[in-house]
Amino acid sequence: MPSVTLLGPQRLRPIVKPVLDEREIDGPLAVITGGWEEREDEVDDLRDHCQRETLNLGLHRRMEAVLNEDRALSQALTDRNDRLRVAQTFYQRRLAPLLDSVRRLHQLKVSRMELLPAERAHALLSVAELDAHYMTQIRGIHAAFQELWDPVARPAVVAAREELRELLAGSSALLIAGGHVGVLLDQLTLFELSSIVGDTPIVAWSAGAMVLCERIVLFHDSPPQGPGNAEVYDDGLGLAPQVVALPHARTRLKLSDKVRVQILAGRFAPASCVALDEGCGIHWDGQTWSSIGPARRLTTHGKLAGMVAP
Amino acid sequence: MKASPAIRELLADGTPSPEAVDNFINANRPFPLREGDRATFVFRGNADGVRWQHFIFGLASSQSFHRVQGTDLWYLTVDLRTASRIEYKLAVDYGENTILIRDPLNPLKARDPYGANSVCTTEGYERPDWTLPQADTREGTLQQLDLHSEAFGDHRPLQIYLPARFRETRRYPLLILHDGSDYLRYSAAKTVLDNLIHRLEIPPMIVAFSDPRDRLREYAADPRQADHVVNEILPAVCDAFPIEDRPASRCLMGASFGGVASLSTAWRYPGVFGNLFLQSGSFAFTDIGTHHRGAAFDPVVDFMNEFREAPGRPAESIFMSCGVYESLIYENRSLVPLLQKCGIQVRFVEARDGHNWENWRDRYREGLSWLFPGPLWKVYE
Repeated sequence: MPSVTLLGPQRLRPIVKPVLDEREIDGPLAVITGGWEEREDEVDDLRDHCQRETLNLGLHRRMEAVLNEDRALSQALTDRNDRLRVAQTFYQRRLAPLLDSVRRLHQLKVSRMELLPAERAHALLSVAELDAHYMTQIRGIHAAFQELWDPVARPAVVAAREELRELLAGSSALLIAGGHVGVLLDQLTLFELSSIVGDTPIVAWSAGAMVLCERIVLFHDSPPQGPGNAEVYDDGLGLAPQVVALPHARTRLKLSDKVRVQILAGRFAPASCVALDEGCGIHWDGQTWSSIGPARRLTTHGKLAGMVAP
Repeated sequence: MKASPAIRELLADGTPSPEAVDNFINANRPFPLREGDRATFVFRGNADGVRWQHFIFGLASSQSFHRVQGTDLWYLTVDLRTASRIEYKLAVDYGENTILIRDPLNPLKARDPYGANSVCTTEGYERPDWTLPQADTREGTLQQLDLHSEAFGDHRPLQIYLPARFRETRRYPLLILHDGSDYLRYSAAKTVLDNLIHRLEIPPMIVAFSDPRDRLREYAADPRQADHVVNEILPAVCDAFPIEDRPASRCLMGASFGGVASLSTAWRYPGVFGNLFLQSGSFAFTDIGTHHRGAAFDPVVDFMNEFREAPGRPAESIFMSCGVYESLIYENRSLVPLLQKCGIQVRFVEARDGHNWENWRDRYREGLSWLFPGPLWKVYE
């Protein structure tokens, strides 16, 4: 398993270079900016910041090319995505009342307060069970697709993977930028990048950090519409174990809302929910996690705490 | 009227000295003084009368200040509801002359095409941060698109908003606004679009700001306006810019008479615009007899009466907003069930505000993010 560094957003105060310097990574960098979609090639700022040679893996472009060439696979992916969307709709509908009931139990003032913790814990367990059920459903959809289509055996994908393998072989690290987490995940899984990355160290940020975790969680506490229910999206690549990456946490989460922090942390325990804001990150050396800058994790007490090995 | 505690304290020892009045004003600036759900307006000067001229439908539109005997201090305490935003002026009488002024002791003001008003906000109202320029927001651009109108027989340039990081190779949703220049000038439309797009709450979109020449006539359900929007503005913008070619990606928006123009256009050309954003629409109608809103409303009432008889399905989704301090609140409320009955998805939002551009500015986020949800949940840059 490669060493993995997960960082917060890099647009305004990038720290990729000091991270690379610290790890003494001086060679060429393979770069994935597929989450930026049609802006994938706009890597000048990143290259200037890193001051190293960069090789853009062009996953967005490659995926478009594969799907143009292999229309049957493209149609199968569309069908799979339709099924995933429907499953997600069911999940969201069931999730809303469950989370609402957990929040209500946290607001409740009753005469026998000592009875409440067990109710809250059980209500939260129901949420976690629904999350698990949803994951089972979508894993089934993925497995059925995989069995029928086995994308890495399709000629167009085989050729692209071969090129990617060569590009990665000449790189001293792989950078994965943020962007659209769903698009990025689709690209990484289509080309099964985790099986060709080998031991190349990975530095990823924002959505890039999210896809490396075991579980991808979408979140926003104050969206313009709806109650802001964090939801499980899909399995990640599992290269960043035991953590849930929460980039832009300061702007997306109400970190001073004890109940919300408590629920989010409790729901995904024992994994640590890590707030990845600008200027901070966490590093996995294959054994333990360590902090870069002021990285913090959400605790089941509803507060933020320093990063410790989970 | 309950007296303000601060005023009661000032008057506790009888007539206050000029120094005491000075101290009171300096200690309590800016006015109006807000004490819970009560606001106290203050004026200082040797006038013969001072009145609070506001635009709150439901309250007497002019309320007199009280003069503190033996001083040049005038005050008026009123009960207001929380989370309110109220625009007002002071009418000051000098002999037989009355002048209408902004509150000299209140720096908060709102501009509109007729000048500016003073603004009183109560506890619970805060100007949304997304209406103000933000340092890290990427900015879109405005450019002019020349357009000759056959419908009106004149030249009507459009202002076109292109979002930050605009790309020719991508296709964008289109929003067409009536009273475009006023939306830009008085409603911070560009700042709001920049911020909402940057925050991923709406997708990057192209916005056409159109302007009338003879507003009250053209926007009063004039068929020429509908023709102009559908057969001139829409094709011109689609020719010049990469627009998604489907009704669900198009929205027509307007406030007041601009709301009427939007609804009337969509009604005359159903299926062209999938979405409408109607703000404080001047949807006056009559069930029987005549209306009392003046001659400018005659064609509006004719249209609305016709519309209420046969609404059809002008759009798939309609977001409506109206201030509860507007007389139009009743007409807007009554339109909602009618539209819903037609199978249209309707979201209606009320605000404790009046018929003004800042009310319309503050509703942008809720309306646009409902009509055009952004990629907020899936994009983490």
